[in-house]
Amino acid sequence: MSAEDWSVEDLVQQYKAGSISRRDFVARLAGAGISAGLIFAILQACGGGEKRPTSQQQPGAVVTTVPQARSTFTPTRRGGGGTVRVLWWQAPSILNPHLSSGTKDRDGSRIFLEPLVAFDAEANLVPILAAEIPSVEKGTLDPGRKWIIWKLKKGVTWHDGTPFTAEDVVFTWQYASDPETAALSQGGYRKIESIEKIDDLTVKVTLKEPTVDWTTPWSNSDGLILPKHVHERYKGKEARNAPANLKPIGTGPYKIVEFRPNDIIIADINPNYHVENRPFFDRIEMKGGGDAPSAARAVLQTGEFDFAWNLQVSWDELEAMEKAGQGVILVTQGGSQEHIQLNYTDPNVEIDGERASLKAPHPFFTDLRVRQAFALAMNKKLIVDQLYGKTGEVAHVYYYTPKKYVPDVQQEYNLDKANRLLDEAGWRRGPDGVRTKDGKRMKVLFQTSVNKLRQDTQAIIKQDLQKIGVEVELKSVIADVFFAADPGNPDNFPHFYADMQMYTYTRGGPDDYLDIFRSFLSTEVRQKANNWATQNTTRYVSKEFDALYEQAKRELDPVKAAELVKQMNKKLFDDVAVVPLVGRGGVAAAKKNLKDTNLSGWASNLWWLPYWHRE
Amino acid sequence: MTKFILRRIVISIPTLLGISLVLFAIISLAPGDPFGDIALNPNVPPEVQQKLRQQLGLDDPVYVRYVKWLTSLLRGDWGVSFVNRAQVVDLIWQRLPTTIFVLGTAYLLALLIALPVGIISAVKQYSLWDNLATTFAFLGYSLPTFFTGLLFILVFTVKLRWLPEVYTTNIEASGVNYLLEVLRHAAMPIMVLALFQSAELTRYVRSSVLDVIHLDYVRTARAKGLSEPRVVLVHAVRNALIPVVTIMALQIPAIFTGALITEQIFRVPGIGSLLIASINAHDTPVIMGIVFTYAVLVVTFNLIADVLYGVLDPRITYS
Repeated sequence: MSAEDWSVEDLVQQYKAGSISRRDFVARLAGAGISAGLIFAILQACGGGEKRPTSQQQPGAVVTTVPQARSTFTPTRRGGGGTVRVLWWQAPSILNPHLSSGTKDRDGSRIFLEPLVAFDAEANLVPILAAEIPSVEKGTLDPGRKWIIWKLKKGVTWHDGTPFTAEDVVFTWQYASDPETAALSQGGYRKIESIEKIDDLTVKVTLKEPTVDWTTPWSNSDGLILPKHVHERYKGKEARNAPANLKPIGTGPYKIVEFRPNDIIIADINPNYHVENRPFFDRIEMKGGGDAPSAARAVLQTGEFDFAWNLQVSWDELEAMEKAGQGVILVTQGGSQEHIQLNYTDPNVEIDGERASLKAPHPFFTDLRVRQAFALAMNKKLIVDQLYGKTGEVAHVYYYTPKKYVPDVQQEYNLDKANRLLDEAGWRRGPDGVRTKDGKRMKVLFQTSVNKLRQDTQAIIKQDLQKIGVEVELKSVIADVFFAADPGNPDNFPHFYADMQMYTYTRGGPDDYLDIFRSFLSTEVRQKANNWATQNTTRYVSKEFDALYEQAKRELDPVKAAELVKQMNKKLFDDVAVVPLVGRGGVAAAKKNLKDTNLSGWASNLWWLPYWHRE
Repeated sequence: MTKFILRRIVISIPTLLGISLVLFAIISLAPGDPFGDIALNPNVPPEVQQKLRQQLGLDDPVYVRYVKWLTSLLRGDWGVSFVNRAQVVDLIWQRLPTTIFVLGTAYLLALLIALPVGIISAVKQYSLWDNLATTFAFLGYSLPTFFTGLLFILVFTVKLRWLPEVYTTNIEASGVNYLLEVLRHAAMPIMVLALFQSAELTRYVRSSVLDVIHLDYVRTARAKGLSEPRVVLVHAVRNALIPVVTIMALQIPAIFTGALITEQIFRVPGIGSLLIASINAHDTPVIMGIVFTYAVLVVTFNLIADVLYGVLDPRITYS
């Protein structure tokens, strides 16, 4: 076996099956430049190195999907639960969700600040600071979706005793949409024309344009309401200097005791919390730092923590840890998707000082047959089974959930067909097995961020692409460089100076198709002229898609809109504008006795915190 | 002597300036920016991104940013974090006690192990003890801390369940229990660091004691009929430790700036993990604050080591 044609995952399988010895296994991994720490982790994940055939493995780990009943426990008093300890391996560094787009910071803020409403796992709206869900029947929602009337919950107070009123909702909008604040939550507020206070507990939100997605920003982490009396002095330019960014005052179930950025949040019960007899725990500690595998271990194996978030760890490792019996793995579906982009422009040609310019079409990805061949060579099922386990599902279309938006299409894995298509397209195999046409080699640079799952996925895809005569060079860029937005950084994904790249996009809500599909609009192509700060990374340009998008934008009937979303999905599928790979679930772990975490893929992991309890 | 110290202090100013300039340039040249996943978020309009870069002064040329940083440092202003606008000084003070406690204890422990082990190995060269000590030293020195750290977690946390994996500064106990809990949390990081450092120091102590133990004056001391402990401790070790003192002095800055890897493994909220978090967040003011402090400490302790030399070794004079 040459170094070219084995992957870590193959090796792990061989090792588990007992066909190679532990010593060989370690030597091979070390030879591949894998660190001792990682090898240790892999060995551990393989069940301490016992050689046992895979067929004798214990049945799969228990995955608790989100429970139907929201609360299984009716307390008669507030508190009494002691301390709940949660572990966020990326530590929060600021507790104002409007000034950071990081999930870690927004989760940390969510302990203290609350939105008007939130989506549960089944994408149903649940009121939090709102008294009820606006509806056309009650006269609080415009049938034309131009305005919404939010009735706010009575008797809610901020942590300092000031009552929560309509003024705070109006202020939050003013604060976030002020360009000087440079709020990262701004996007959702920009569609709002005005907010009018009707009385102390009622506001009327008027939108610039009617939209189906009227619940945002109020339903997601952009919509956490800030207290006017605290942040009023720190609006605009001064926003980032507010002491409350580090010591938030909110309406949430816990009040801040101490926050050490990038380390720990300590918060005590809010004795005046607006839900009767909640929360159960007297104190919450959110510890940060470290890495995902050890966070999983701290809950599943050693039981030091009650809950850990975002466990991007291979399924094998998670499963092995869960067998220790301390905790359970929780998977949520929130619409995130690992996908592969094929570059429509040539990253190796520079025109007017710009690589991957629209003026330089890609030498082969502009040919539909080539794109189809690449899509046919992606063994999604293997990737899901081997790497993601129960934390992923095969995705065939780009906007793959909820089901009402998904057209009935499937991408098959068929190397013969892929080979035939490439033959038809005129790409002939050379003596070394790599296809060429008009003197051009079919060679791709395939980049992604440094992450064990991603490198294993790259290895699987590379093997299949080699089988259809494509030479593949793999590149992995450290995550904080790959995902950064600085215009001078040629290695980040917005520049896309490669032929293929892979990452996960995340969703803002169950109906955010207008935001997500912006990534394929001709007006959004990432170029030097716009500092690569727009959304269309593949540089796919299609008049038909643009037209469908415009139509969807104007369509207010949810059923008809869903039909248009299906058509957009279908169009991208037919054009192979992108190769959807794996629908990625959010993975968390909770101790066995921690109940009613009621995680939702559409909300922060802590959205149901007031109702958490310990048995 | 005073003249020598003054001269050295004057020389250290351009040295530090040079260091800060190089550091700043490297950090600015590195790709990436402090806004994390903005590029991934379709809800953040590009104008916000540009506004933020402007607000933090990231669009200024590197030299302008450097001069700004330097002039405010001279005024005693360390700047504020890009990420949360916390004062860099506050962030460092928050973490300094933990770092000093964990690393200081580890260092003290390392000394307590290294001194006797190194001296005995040198005095009884090639004995069983010496071989054992040498093996221990090589083992400790060649095993990286990320390996021993994980090994300790496997043994003490996963298998034996004696010690917690995650370091906590927030301990709810009082009196003796508090102390015990603190030690329980700090035990593994301290052991990992002490193992590494004692191994290194043992080698130094052994070789410098070996250098003097065969010298004539030691033989003379023995010939005078002095007891063996007196010969070794008073005559040999005293002189042998001069180079060791220098090495120790040069390692002290590390106690203040933390242990990057060990802190990360055990989630010790020290300066090292702050540095890693800041590097990941491209938080230039914090990175500069920590790294520059380290540079100042290294320069200072170099000076102290040189001065100590003069005090310890009468043959050396600075005039």
